[in-house]
Amino acid sequence: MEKTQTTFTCRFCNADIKIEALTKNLKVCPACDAHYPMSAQERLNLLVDVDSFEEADTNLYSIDALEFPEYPDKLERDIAKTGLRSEMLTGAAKIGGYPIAIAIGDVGFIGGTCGAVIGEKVTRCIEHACETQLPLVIVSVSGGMRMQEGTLALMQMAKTAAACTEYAKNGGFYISVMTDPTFGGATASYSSLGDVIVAEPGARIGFAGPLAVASLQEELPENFQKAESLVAHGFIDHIVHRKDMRQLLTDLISYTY
Amino acid sequence: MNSTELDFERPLIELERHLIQLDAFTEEHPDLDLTEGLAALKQNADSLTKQTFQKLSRWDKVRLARHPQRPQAPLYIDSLLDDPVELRSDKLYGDDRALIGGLAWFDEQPIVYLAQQKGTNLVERQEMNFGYTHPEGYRKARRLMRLANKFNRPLICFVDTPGAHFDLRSEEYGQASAIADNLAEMMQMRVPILVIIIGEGGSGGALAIAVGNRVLMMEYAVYCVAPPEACSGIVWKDKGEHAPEATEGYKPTAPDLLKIGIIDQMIKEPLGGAHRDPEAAVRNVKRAIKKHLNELIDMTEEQLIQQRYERYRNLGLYGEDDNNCP
Repeated sequence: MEKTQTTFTCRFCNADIKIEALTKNLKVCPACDAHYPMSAQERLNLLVDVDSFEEADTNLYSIDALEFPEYPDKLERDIAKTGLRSEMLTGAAKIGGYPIAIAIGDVGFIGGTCGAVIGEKVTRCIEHACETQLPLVIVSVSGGMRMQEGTLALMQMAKTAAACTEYAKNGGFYISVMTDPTFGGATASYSSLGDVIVAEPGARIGFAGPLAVASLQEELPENFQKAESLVAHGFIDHIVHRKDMRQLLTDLISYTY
Repeated sequence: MNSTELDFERPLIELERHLIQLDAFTEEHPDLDLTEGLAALKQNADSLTKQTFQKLSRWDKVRLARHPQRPQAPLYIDSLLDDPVELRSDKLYGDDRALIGGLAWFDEQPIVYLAQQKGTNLVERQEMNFGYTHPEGYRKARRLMRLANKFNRPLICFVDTPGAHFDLRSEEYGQASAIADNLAEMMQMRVPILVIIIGEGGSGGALAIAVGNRVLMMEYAVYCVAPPEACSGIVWKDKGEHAPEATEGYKPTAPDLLKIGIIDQMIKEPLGGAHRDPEAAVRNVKRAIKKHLNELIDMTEEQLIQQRYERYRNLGLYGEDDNNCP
């Protein structure tokens, strides 16, 4: 998509955009409002109050428990590429002055897939919110479950759902933010269990992967597996522009604090 | 030759056919005494089967789990449950034939059952969508879970699906949301949940009725994060050609999963697999259900919820170490 070092062509509207302008605009195309992916750290900066984030569980890391071909190499490659130690940022922070627990996914790590580390980090984050009676914000981005961790990855769906259930039982308020893309096991567990579910415009969201769906050769509507379609079908509450996300979260949290 | 036979079954089935012919031959010729020879041959056939089945690869087991003649949920329901009454409504918009359920008795204990089925002939298979579960199925299951909870009846789930369906409609009807709701529902149930994976336990489609206090699995069943072909497509970027390698890689067989605590018991299958002797398979399943149900029925509501929560809370292998963290 990059033309030169300083400009790139938007893959949605074909406008030539200065990279600097895109960055300044929160990685949203100034011409057509297309929302481009953000790293977990960028999203954290966007959403929480300055200097309020205290990261938890930084010492968890994925292991090749099943001896799946080439998994260790891929892990090493993505650690180098993203600079992330453990695939997802979790911890405590403030939004609009309100203390909250927060988890933010990053799509750069094995396609943002969910394995045992993400399952454990999400679970601990929810448990922390439960113990401290804080509202919970989870920003999902996921390429589905991590194949290399097999059935153990599948079990993370049950584990995170269990934590959500406990949290709900204790009266906790959970806002799920779905971003592009949110697929597979994440969508079918913690991401869909929010009291309120919001999404960014154009975010691709679903359970079955787009390739699997395409294999059936059905004619698909334009908005298929997009946030807009999920709102229309009753599974998402709101679509929010990235620049307004922080304010919306603040407003929502204020109702229950 | 029968097209449903697997390659490693062929020599065994061939040998069996010869034995049957020999049997018939001796009956026609009572003057010839071949008893000893026949017995020896039969023993040889058994030991050949044993040898073959000891050497099965994980991919062979996937193929056994998908065997067209493999006993399906209706056989277990008919043989193990008394007076089953099927309840077909999801109280929303449809009846999924791939996931059925209802009320029944097991050993004089009233229970609620859920079961996935693939069908045994083309008409059935189409009606049951080859076992791919629809959103209606998950929501029907949730309705029945609530019924079990309301009337304090144990829930018994027979899992057998290649996975959730992947068509336009299942997505638009919110299958992700439906599966997530079921996981949350099962976590809160105050009655025993017993899960038996009888064939394929495919991804979220299986898990949607498989959060149990105990999870049992047939010897040649598989339970995986995604079908091997899908795993191959995701990891090797192909059309499923690496399915055998994917299967060896993510290790979805009963002995593998018993080792890492995902299942609690492997139910032995008769020699050659459940389809070679369905009655024996049913007997083994019955014994296992009885044993675990008896143990679970003695637990209090709080114990059941707590045990189920901890069972899943502790699943996952990862590193946790400040010094070794990359």
